Amino acid sequence: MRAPNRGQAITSRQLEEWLEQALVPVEPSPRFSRHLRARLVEVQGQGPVNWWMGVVGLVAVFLVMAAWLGMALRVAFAILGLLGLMNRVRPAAGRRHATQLVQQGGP
Amino acid sequence: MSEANSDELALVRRAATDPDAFGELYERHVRRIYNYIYYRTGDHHDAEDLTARVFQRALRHVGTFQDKGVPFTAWLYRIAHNLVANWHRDRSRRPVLPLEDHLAASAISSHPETLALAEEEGELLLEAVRRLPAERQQLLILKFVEHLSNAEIGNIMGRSEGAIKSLYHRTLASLRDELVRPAGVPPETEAVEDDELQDRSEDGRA
Repeated sequence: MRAPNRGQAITSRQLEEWLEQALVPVEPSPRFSRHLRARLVEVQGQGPVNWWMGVVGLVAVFLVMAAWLGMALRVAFAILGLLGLMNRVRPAAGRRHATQLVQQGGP
Repeated sequence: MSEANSDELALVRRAATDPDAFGELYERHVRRIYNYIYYRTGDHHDAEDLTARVFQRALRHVGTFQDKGVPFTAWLYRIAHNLVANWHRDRSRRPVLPLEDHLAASAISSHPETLALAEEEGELLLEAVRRLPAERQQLLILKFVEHLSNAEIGNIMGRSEGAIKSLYHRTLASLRDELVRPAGVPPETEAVEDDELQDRSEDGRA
């Protein structure tokens, strides 16, 4: 059907015929349809796996952090123990030095 | 409920957890959703992009779909309608004129022969259709592209058969006005409110 000019009257029948010619079904490209379907199915298939992987990841991070914390606490206690030992050794050495001076008739 | 509807509903229920079921739903509806979006946007690339988003959104929310007597297709059309509305809003903020449209527009304004050719190609008609309110566009697409009956269209659009018939006649009238309206004159603005008032009275009678 030939399109009517602007301003020209058009009947409902003519308009319907024109619409029938203009509004025809179009097909999405097969490549697009195929890829989108594959992507959707893949995403849905991965859903529960991702959830479990998230949980496993969190547990792994927690374990590593706990191990590091344990190691850090052990190192800290070791340093504190060493410092305590040194503090105990130093006064004893000072007392021995003073006794020697007294025995030698020092001041 | 018809056998086809109950079959579709069972498929929708399975689709929440079963990738193959969702794949089948996709196969059933992708072409019509693509058609709807294509005629609302007028661009194949945008239609592909928005169709992908419709199904991604449907996949995320298919578990929440509830059977309220409205077919799954209507639910998909609703998602598509919302995404197309967002798309139009974004475009109105950032107006972009595709090169071919720009060339066509400049040719139309300068060559009467080209104008006649463009009119014959139906592009002007499609442009006039795209200027109609969204609901009227949907009605024309369902009627002429999908070849659905008034009852089927009413089922999808949530209206009675009589309301669809009435809306169709008003749509043709406004489309006719749109086609003969001189360039530069703004389109009618009360169309949507008018549709709602008319449909309420039609539904009351139905």
